[in-house]
Amino acid sequence: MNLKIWHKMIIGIAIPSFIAILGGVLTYVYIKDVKKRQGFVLIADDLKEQVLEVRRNEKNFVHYKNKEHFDILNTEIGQLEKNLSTISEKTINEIGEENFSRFRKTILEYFNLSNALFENYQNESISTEKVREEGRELEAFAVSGKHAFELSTNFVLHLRILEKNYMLYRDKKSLDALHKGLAELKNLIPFCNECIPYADSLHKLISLYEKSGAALNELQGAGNALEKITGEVADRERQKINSFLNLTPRIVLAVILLLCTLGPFFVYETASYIVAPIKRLVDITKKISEGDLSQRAAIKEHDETYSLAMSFNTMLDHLQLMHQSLEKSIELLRKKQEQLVEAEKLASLGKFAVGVAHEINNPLAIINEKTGLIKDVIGMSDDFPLKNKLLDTLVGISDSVNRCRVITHRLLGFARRTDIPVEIIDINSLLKEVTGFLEKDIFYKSIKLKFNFTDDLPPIESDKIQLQQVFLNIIKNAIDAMEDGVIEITTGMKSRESRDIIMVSIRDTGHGIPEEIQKNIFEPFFTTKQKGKGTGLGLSITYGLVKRLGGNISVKSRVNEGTTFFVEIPVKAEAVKV
Amino acid sequence: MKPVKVLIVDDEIEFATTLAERLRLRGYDAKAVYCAEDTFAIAKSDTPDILLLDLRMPGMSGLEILMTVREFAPNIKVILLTGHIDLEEKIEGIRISNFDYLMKPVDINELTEKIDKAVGKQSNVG
Repeated sequence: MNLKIWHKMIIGIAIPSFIAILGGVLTYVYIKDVKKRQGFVLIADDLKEQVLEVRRNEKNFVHYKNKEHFDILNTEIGQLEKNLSTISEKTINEIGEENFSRFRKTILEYFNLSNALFENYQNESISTEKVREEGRELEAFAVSGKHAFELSTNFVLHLRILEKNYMLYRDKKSLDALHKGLAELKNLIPFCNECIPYADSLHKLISLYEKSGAALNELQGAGNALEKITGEVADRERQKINSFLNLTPRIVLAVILLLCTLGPFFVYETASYIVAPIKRLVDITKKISEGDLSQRAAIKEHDETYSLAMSFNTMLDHLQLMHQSLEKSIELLRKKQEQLVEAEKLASLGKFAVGVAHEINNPLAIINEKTGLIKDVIGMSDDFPLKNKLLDTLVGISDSVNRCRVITHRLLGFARRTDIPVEIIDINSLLKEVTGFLEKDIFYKSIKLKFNFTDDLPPIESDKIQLQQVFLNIIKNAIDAMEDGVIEITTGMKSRESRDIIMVSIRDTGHGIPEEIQKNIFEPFFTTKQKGKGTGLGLSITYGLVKRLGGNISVKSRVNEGTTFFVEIPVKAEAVKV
Repeated sequence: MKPVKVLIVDDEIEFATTLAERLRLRGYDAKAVYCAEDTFAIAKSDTPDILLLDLRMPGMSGLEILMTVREFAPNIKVILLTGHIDLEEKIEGIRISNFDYLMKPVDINELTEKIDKAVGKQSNVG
């Protein structure tokens, strides 16, 4: 993930914050809903209150059965309807449209039923008057005595009592009693025509009463339904409020728990996520301080620590390089110091040897000359006894002097330089210079000199004088080895691949070196020249010099055809001990 | 035939005088001097054919003496006599003249050979 540290921080903080906000919002929404539901409960309770008011008036109306109470009831119903219409459409929808439509329908039904009941009550009162009138006439008729004997006055009076009871109680008992009386009256009708209107009017009244009863039942049912609807709504909303109230603390608790657990978790995770690369850097610095410079910071995140790790690694690269070059320098320094010490040792040893050799050499030379002089003198004088013995003794002294001479010369050989003063040398011009020294010899011996130079050779860093000495010796040997021949000097690189070693070959057309002594030519005091012509040290010194300059020398030769010396010279001389 | 005039220049008096005597026994007109001044004096008055020159001398070195002598006796031959020869001296010597050299102690026959070769004469003793 390519997240910056501040992105990570925002995420780490945002998640717990989001949880907190979510909890808060949920609580707010719930509380708001609860408040709203409380409003609904109030509305429902109000309606229920009014319905109860209507019911009270209904009872009054049923009791008094007059217009006055009927009007009061109607007014109350109108009031209920009016209140109902003030409730907003939104509230109606939220509480439940079907509740309201049922409520309205029931109100309407209630209203119609109350009207019907009132109408019935009016008919009842007319019918009641009629019954009373007919009763009074029948009573008067019975009292007048013009009726048949089957109709007794007592029965009529009894009937009237039953009639009054029924009007008063309107219950089943009084109705049953009245029915019984009416049944008896029915039996009397053939004997009493005057009984008929009364019986008819009573029957009518009974049927009206029954109708009223039914209507009243219906009205009460509707009233109950109204009460029930409002009660249901109120109960339902209350229940909702309760469930919300029960739920809210749980939500709050859950959010708190979530915050307490997830919050620290996310913060911890984010912190470790941010700190992880830094921690890794710290681990690496520890390892580095223990000396392991090969450590590098792993780059996993592309945040601000990315560039930190990058520059850290770059710094380490530099540090490691510096460390390595430092170690190399120290190693080089150590080597140089060793070489220097060795060189110094050799140099002082050389100086000492040279000093001693010099000191001995001069008296040695004197002894040599004195002995020589004695030899000369004795040799020139006439024979005398023991002359030969004397001469032999002198030869013995001369031999001893010679032995000493060898020793001192060897010691003086130490005087050769042990260090290499480095100059930049162009090998071609060096060879020209050297052959220049030998111009006269070459001219006198009418030797042809051929140069076969490669032009673009790298310059050599080496000791010029020693190199001159090397080629001087070889070329001088070549000159000594022939009369009117050819010397061909060739320069080039030793191999095509490398430009480290320069190869110089010096070919002559002299008498050549027999194969059996080729291996000896670089040995000290080995010479093919006549006694006294060569020291036997030339090629040995040359060999030593070439080796000391880090080069190599080899020879190829065929008798009577010529000799070629191959000299390899490193472009950069490094002093080596020989 | 005129004997070859040899001048030996060496601060070792015993060596120089003995060598001169031996050369004289061999028919050379040999003289010995021990310092630069004497060398110049003799070289000017009676120019020798050849100088036998020690390279290492107190005061002026053999090469310096040689160069000075060359100024007024340009054709003088020279053989260096030395304990040993330094490379630089050798190279320098080659530059100054077509010299020859011998390491001390010298073999008298070798020396006379070189002298004769240098002055272009056969040994007048042999």
